Amino acid sequence: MGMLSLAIWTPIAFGIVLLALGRDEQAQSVRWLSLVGAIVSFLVTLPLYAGFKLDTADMQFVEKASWIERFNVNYHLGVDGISLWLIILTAFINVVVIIAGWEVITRKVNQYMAAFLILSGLMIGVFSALDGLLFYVFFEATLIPMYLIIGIWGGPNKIYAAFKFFLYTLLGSLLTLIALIFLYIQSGGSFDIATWHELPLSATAQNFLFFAFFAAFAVKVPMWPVHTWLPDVHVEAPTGGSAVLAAIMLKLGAYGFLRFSMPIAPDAAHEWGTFMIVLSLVAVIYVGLVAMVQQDMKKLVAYSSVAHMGFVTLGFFIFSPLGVSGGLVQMIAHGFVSAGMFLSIGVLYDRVHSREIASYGGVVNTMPKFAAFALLFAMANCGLPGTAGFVGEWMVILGAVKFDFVVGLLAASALIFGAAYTLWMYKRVYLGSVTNDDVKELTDINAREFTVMALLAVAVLYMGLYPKPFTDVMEVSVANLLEHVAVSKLP
Amino acid sequence: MTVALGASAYSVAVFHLMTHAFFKALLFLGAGSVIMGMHHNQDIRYMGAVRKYMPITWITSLLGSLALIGTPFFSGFYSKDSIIEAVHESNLAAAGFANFAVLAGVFVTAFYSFRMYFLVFHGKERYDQNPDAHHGDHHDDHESHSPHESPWVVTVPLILLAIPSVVIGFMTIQPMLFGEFFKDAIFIDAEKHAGMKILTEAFHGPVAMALHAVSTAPFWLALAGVVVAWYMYLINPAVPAAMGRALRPLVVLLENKYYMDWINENILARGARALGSGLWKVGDRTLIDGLLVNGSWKLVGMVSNWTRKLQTGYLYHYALVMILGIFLLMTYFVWLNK
Repeated sequence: MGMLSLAIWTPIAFGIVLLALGRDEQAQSVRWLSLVGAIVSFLVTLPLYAGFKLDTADMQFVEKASWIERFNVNYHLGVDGISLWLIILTAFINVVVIIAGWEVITRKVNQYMAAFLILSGLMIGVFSALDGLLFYVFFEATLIPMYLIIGIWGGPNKIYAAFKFFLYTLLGSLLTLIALIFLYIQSGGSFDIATWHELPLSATAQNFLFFAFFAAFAVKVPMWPVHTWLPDVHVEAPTGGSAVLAAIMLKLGAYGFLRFSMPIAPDAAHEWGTFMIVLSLVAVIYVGLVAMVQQDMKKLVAYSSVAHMGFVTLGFFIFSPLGVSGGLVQMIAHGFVSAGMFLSIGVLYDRVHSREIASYGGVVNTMPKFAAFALLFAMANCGLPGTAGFVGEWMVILGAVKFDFVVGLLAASALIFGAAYTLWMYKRVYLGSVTNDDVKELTDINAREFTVMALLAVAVLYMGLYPKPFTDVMEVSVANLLEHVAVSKLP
Repeated sequence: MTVALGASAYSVAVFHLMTHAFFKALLFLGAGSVIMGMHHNQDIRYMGAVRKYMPITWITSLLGSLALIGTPFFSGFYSKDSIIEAVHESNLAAAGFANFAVLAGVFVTAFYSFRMYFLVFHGKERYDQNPDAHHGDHHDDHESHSPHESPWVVTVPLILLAIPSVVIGFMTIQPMLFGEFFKDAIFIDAEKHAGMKILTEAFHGPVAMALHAVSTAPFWLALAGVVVAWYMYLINPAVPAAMGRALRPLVVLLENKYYMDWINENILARGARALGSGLWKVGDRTLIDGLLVNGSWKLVGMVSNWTRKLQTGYLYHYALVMILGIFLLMTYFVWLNK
């Protein structure tokens, strides 16, 4: 079994074992088994980094086996510099959310843990699939565990949120299925993504494909104006669900742009580049303003995710190495930072059972350790130099300024909104004097919560201070992608 | 410092940055020491005669203030005077105004520094006049309002900063401005910006520079600032009070920082929140979510509600529709489609 198969199926196998054997009476052993499963699943992704060759843009750790011979569908896996860190990030965040859900979840513990383990395996599958149909199967399959996580362990309005999430994203991805079938026919019976990359296509076909993919990926990112499912879903999702949703699931869409839209329909991507940049700028500015007036912490962070993902798509569609690498770095960084933000809200919610900013005030007085971690994540969320949030934003803005000064200026101005909504929330929740009895009775984070926060804090600082391991991996693959996208595919 | 940059006297700018670092750090730490000694009161109107209780802070702050106002031989003198000279020699369009501004600045700086100095360290003790001091709860000895000298962790840095505040300019002006300190790091087009060249020619050592200064305007302006501050705040406090009344609108404008905070708070911040709130409620909730997202499921619901009504399950309904259909088709083929 190859390394990638191991990375995909280890968490899924653990998840199935948990589903089959776990009972709520043995919740403690279920938790430990899930933790072991998550850690093992994380460890098996590390050889991917250790053995990764930096000097080639070719797919590595490739596995290929025939799956559905009748339609020439293959079980075809591989990683390059674009997907490698996303796979490791997925496995890492999985460990974090398993620990974060430790005492919080008391009902159907085995199913909760199994849903996260299986989800993690499926998302790694999305990032490593090289066969179009295999990608689609993994991409759609991720909806199921997430739907269940929201629908079972979510808040009061969970059913509405779960349906909205499912229908919104499914509607988009059905068009993608048609696009995949179209490509299968055009290429004379192949689901191989690399073959599609080389396939000459007319301008009409490219435009159709671009928008078919756009329907799926823009909803997932989410780009303005198809972002409205995200705040609703975050509000209802349990803390771990929010963390995985923000940290990994949004990246599936952004990854799709790099793997499908841009290389398969390069001419259309260039033609609609301005359109994408405008949508991205609307996301960073409009959504930044909307984030500022939110009363609900989770909604605020959800909107801030939309704004941050706007930087990602902005970086991609300026078609420069700085922009695309910056977007990728921003994806990884946002994974750590948004997970940290949502888990911080979770820590407060577990104690006070409110997400309203107005229910808090002066938390720093009763939870100093926690407030310090929360401040680090807040600073990273506004992109303070030295934290992960800075690196990607800086690269994207630099790329944007080189591309067009006004675009760069608008993108940079969004940083002000980022600082405004994040720090304003921090001030109202954490600083000042204790405002009510709930806050007065808060107890600081325990060892388990400290571990969760510390894991993410180390990642945020490491990436902020030394992003080289991240950018090195991407460099050759991004250059290769841009070289490919620069060449017209019109017949 | 930026004035020096404007006059292309880059080395002078860096030189001033360095001397300024010493005496301004000294003054800030001195202020901190006084605030600690005054039990966290930082309103200079309720201080006075602190020199009796805090001798080290007093002497070091005095040295810092003298350096700040550019007293000859002190570090601030060498850097400030060089800047004034550089502006004076500059032939840029706005140099005349800049020259006036820096000279006025000399007077104002001397005036406000020594206003603070006199109010804090000299005059009568006014500790018990502070309306806020009595309900302060952060000090233990409520009985004693008299200040006390700070511990050594404060005074030692004060002394260490006071030494360079006095001597660093004297020691380093030669290498930094006219010597080899910057080597090729700074390039000046001497044709267009002759200031530095003239300064170099006029420089005959730090002692001569200080002695010469006594016969120039900046020295007398600084002295005038000190004297006016001394007169207004120690001898005759009625003068500033009368001026405050006479210039009331100006005082109000300045006390409110030209209303910049008000503009920030009420126009920029409130405007951004109003905009965000509008975009959220109208854009996100009403148009996108209300009209498009929820609207589309309502439309689907409506259409299916409709079509459901056609599927009644009654045979006679279907038969009727069939007959009507045949009738319509026949009408079309027989009569209209000739």
